[in-house]
Amino acid sequence: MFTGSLMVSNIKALEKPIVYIVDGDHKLLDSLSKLLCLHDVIVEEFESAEDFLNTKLRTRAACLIVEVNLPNMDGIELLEHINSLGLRLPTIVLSSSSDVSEAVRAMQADAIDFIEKPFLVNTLIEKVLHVIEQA
Amino acid sequence: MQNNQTKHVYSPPMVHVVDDDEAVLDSVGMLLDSIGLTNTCYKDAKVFLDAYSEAEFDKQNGCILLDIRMPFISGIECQHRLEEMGCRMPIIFVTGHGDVPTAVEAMKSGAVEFIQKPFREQVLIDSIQKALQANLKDQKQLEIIKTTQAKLASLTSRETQILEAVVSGKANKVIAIDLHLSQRTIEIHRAHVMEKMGVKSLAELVKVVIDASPTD
Amino acid sequence: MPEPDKTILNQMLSYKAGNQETIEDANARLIALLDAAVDALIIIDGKGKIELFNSAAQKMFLYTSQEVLGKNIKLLMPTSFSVEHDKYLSSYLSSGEAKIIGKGRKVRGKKSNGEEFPIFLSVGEVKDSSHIQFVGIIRDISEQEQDKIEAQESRERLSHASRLSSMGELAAGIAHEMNQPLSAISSYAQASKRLLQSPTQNNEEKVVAALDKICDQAIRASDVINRLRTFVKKRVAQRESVALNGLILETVNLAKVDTRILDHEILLDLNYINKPKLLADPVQIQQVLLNLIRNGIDAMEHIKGAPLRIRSQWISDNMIEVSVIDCGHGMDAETSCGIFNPFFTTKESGMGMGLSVSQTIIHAHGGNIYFGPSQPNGCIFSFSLPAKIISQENIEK
Repeated sequence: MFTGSLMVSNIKALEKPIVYIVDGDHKLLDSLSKLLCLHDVIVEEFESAEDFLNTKLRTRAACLIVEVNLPNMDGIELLEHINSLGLRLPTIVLSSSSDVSEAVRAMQADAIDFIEKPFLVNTLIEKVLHVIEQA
Repeated sequence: MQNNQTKHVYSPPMVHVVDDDEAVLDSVGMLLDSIGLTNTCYKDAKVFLDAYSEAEFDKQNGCILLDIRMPFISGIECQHRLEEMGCRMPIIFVTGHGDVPTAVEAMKSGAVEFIQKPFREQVLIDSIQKALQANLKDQKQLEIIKTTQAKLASLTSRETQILEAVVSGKANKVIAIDLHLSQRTIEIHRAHVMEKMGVKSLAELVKVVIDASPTD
Repeated sequence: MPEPDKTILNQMLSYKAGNQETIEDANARLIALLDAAVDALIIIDGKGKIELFNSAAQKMFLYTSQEVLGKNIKLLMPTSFSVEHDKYLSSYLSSGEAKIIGKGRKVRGKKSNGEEFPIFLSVGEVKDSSHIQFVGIIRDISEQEQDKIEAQESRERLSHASRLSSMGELAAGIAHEMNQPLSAISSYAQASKRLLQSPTQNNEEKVVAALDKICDQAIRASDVINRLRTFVKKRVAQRESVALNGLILETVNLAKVDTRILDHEILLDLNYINKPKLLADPVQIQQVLLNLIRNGIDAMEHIKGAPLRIRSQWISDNMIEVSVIDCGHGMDAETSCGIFNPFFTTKESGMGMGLSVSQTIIHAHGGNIYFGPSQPNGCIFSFSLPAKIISQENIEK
């Protein structure tokens, strides 16, 4: 099981954690990437849900950050899809449209958090680092 | 096997409605009545919490419709207190003031749904049905765990030792050496354990024991 | 009263003995003085006939000297004043009582084209002359008056902006207040629909009851809107007779839109025996009180259950004081100094205009706004206003 391999052995703990970001906003991808790199985190960027799903997911990925509004499949559908595959990937959902029902859907899909844009980037970085620590 | 099992008396699921607005409370009560959902209305969180601590609502299948903005004890505060009291009834927040941070907090604290007023009755009905089903499942699970734990408690200390050894995959021969007993003694105890636990195979035994251990 | 300058008079007297040239000089000087003056200088006789009309007067009133000499001064006054003027003249001449002489007064003048304008008039009597004469010095104060009006309008706009800002801050609360009755209406309606599917008498009765309640809720929703509308409307401040107790109750209702109020009790300690009546602009006073209430709640934000007290008491025969008392953490010295300054705020949201505007409003009403510490902790914010006791016959049971 995927979850089984995520229960890391001591050796793996020395490798850098990976964070996936799925968001069409280049500027945001850029700034988040740079900031996370400063904290010794490897960031992989994707512009759409499809791009993300087509990539082979790494087993030691610690966190997923996904925007609700994506070109085709939306961020929450992506999260639901990942869940249905039996994968447990701690996810933080971002949204450029602040909608309560969207937030509820995301949380029902077991997201760790739901953050409206615009937001304080540092707050997000802190949350991501916290998630990585917990792994 | 115990003979005096609890009889299951069917009582309809109860929807507990908590809202400080008189008109909202009255109208939701009327709506639930018209749908045929038995309900009790409380005019604020304190009244509900007092009632909860006296009766034991969660023996019965039910769910809670909780407003957020209420005087002195808010909906979120009430949710926390219920959790402290060990209440497992699903909570559906129904609020006239929904903003994303509040919704996220409510969901993080374990609410199953967060509905904004005014709502379409179908949305409310669907949420209630979902909550009641989930609650029923949860209650059944709890029942099983309780029964299994009772069975585990009925084992003697020797039987417990052997159960642990068996479940961790040790062969009878190894257990005999570890416990300085004869293999024959081990086999007898093992059979007793299987009988008391009500299982027929090792696989079943392992499953029953795992299911009974706390998951949260 | 200062002695009139007799230099020129003495000069003229000493030269009167025979020097035609010096008389011409004196005349020339007078004419120069009259023409150089920026203010209008007019001389009239005892009956009001114009004898002298300097060039400033000509420019101001748009008449040439010839057009007015010999005519009555009433020509230069709007009808309302002119009717009074004859009376002033005759009353002074008979009684010697100066109503305007030596004092100066703001009145209105009328130009040749009929245009009225505000003027400042000072009047003196020409003493030791051949006949009764009065001299008037007139200053056109149109510009100052215009400035005053603009300043007033500016204050109104600021006051309005501040009210809008308060309402903006309460937007979430307002949405909530509207959603409650709407939700009730929706639920009653949907319930009724279902009940009508099995039309028993019992169900029909329930539906009728529900429909009544729907109407009530609709009124409730519109009440919320109306209360807010009155508050945010752009308006010219109007003074009217206001029962203070009722105004305070209404303001507390308005404040309830702010949900944080749910966590606090509001205790009223009003004067029900000698009920105060104000001559004030109700919306503006409401604005001040709402501001103080919200500040009080802010101060007690993390202290659940703490009450907010609103008290009114007579501090003299004709001044009523309204106080808002919180039990928060009180204020430090730094905050105390700046608190009435515009844009001063210790909060994350809000313009910081609240107390500054409140101060302007209270001062304009002839009152004072002040604050001090409360025991054992917290603050008392108070404002005083001129007030009367509502007369006995109006007291309800």
